Amino acid sequence: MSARRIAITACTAVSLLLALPGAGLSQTVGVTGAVNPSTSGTPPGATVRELGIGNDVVFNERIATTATGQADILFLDRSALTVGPNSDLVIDEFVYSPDTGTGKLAASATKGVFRFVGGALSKNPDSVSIKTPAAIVGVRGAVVLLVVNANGGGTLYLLYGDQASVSSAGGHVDLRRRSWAIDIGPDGSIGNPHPADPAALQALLALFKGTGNGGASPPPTEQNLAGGPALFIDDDIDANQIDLRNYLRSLDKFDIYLIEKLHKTRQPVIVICRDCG
Amino acid sequence: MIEGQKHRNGRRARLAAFGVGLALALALAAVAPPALAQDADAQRAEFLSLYQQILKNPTNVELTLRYARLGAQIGDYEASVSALERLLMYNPNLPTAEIELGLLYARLKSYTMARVYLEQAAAAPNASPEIRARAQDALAKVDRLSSPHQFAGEVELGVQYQSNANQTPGAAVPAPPGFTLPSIPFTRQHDGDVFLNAAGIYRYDLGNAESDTLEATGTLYESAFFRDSHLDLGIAEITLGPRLTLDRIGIEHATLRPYLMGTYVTLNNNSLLWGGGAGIELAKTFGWGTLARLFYEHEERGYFKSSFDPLATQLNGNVDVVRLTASQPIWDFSTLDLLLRYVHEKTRFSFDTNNQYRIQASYSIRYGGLLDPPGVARPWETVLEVGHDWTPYDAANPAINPFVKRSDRSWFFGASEFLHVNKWLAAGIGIERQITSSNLGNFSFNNTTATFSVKASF
Repeated sequence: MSARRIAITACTAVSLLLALPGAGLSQTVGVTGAVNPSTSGTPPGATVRELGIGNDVVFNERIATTATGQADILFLDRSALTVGPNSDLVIDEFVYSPDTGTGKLAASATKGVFRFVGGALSKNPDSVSIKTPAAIVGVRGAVVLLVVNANGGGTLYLLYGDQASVSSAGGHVDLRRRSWAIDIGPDGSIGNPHPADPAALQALLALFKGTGNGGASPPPTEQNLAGGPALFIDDDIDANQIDLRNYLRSLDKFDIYLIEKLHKTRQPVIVICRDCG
Repeated sequence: MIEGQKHRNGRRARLAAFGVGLALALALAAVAPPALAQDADAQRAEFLSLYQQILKNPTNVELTLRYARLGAQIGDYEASVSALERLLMYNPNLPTAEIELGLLYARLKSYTMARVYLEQAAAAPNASPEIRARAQDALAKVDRLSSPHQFAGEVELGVQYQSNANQTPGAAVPAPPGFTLPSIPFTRQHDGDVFLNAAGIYRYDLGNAESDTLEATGTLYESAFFRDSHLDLGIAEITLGPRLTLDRIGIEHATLRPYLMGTYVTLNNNSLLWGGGAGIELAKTFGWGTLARLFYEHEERGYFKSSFDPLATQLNGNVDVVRLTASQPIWDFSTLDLLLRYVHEKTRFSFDTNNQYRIQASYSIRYGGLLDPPGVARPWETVLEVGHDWTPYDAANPAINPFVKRSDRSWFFGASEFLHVNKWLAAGIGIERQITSSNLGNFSFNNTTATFSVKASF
């Protein structure tokens, strides 16, 4: 085999390998959907880079933000992870099969505030987890906020969805009620679920509001949005009342007829009985 | 011979009516969904395609809004949350995005989050008066919905005409061998009545992490006949018990509700029976939207003697009920409901003791058409129902026919048309046909009911 043919074969093989999903050396897990400086990414074995809008985020990449930094990572499975200011996180694992919607997403958060919005993977049990210094947070079909304090403790908020959980050496607690929270101690102790403090939620949400334009140039304006059709009409909230109405015990009219029948047709029988007796 | 032919003809007519009713229901259920399934597939494909485009161009606001809107339409609410939250990273001063997030979280019953976003939208310096008004309106609704005290109910008030209001047999009662029966005092009689059919539910949030509630239900039916007040019927039922979520034992979207129940019935404005007992309900919502509920109830019943029925107390006993209901939304405008039920009614005498087996299906569909009231999407609602009862008795009644155990079969057919004037009020007409045949002729009867009613839902 000539050297030219070997080179062509090798190039073809490498191209094919790179074309295979997940076969790249630095596997892409998603892209940055919004970034405010300063946010850095450190791919495995590479130097620190300043993250910008639309950058690929790769497997095992470390994302770190400064006091003004924010990043929103859009994963291939439609999950979204927003990294708030003064935060540090590593994408430990991301496996996703678009055909089956299965796989695994695991990350380690050492400090900061994070918002995770579930995509395809989180609809499966035990598929999404975030490790903190004191515990492991599991997310199932949910939107959660996670605060990791400098001492390793923190708080998990369930904003929407089926379930979030906290596991540690101190035990395992599920969180199923929306707008509720669980506190995690630095030693891994897990508190009881409790209603989220609205003021705390408000303060946390403020940390995810853009400190800059998020990389959008120009950024969207209120006029851009207000001109379009509403996504939801407020009347939709009333549909929640219909959910409760499903549990009414309405009388079936055919049952009413049956009760009528029992007693209206019973009277001749009584007459018959009397005369026969 | 002629009697036999009549019987066969009647049976054919009943079967034909059943066939037509069932075919109508199935046709309506079957025709719409395939086309809609294609629409849903197309929406899903567009949704996935939009996400791929967003990955390449994440700051495209138009793509992001289309993705958020489509996510909400196909029930992928996380996608909508993610898209709207990202807009706020590009520009934190977007009260429109905040109000949409607030409404979205409210619809998802995450009321604290909803309130946070709605308050931010209402307070935003650049919010338009319309946005502020929408936010305030939504906040009021969120306050009401997030209260630990929740009420819902339906009240139907109407008039109806029954062709056989006293439900007497059309034919003479056949005399068993060796018995001479008196003539039946009642003759078939048509009549009209005014009726009230109401049901309410009160749910109190116990405030624990499992979202357990205490639930009370009430049901009331009252009818007053125009010609014969002997037929006036009143039914009241209450239940009370906690509803416990079963997520805690690994069964998702399921609840268990043990409850106490009480029943009181009047006929001819006199007490007819009282009942008291207990039941247990297992309810589960499945991934495809089906709400299935399985009930078991046991109720002791006591009857009141009256001049109308001096031997009523011989019906004293108890009732056991096993009931399975399933409600399946088909898209967002129609519902298929199924009922399977077994009732064992035990009385003092075995000839009154019976088992009842019921299967029933109904299909309701909402649509728009002519004369639509403003502001109501799909104001017209058609409901088709079909049901069958089989009620065999434990023993022959020596006073009627000592050799034949009574066995009744009933078919029910119903069709109604409602016009929803607004979210809370609807007016409609309905017609029901009940065909009951019994192996003892004095329990066979037919009845047709025509109804006009106004229904309020709250």
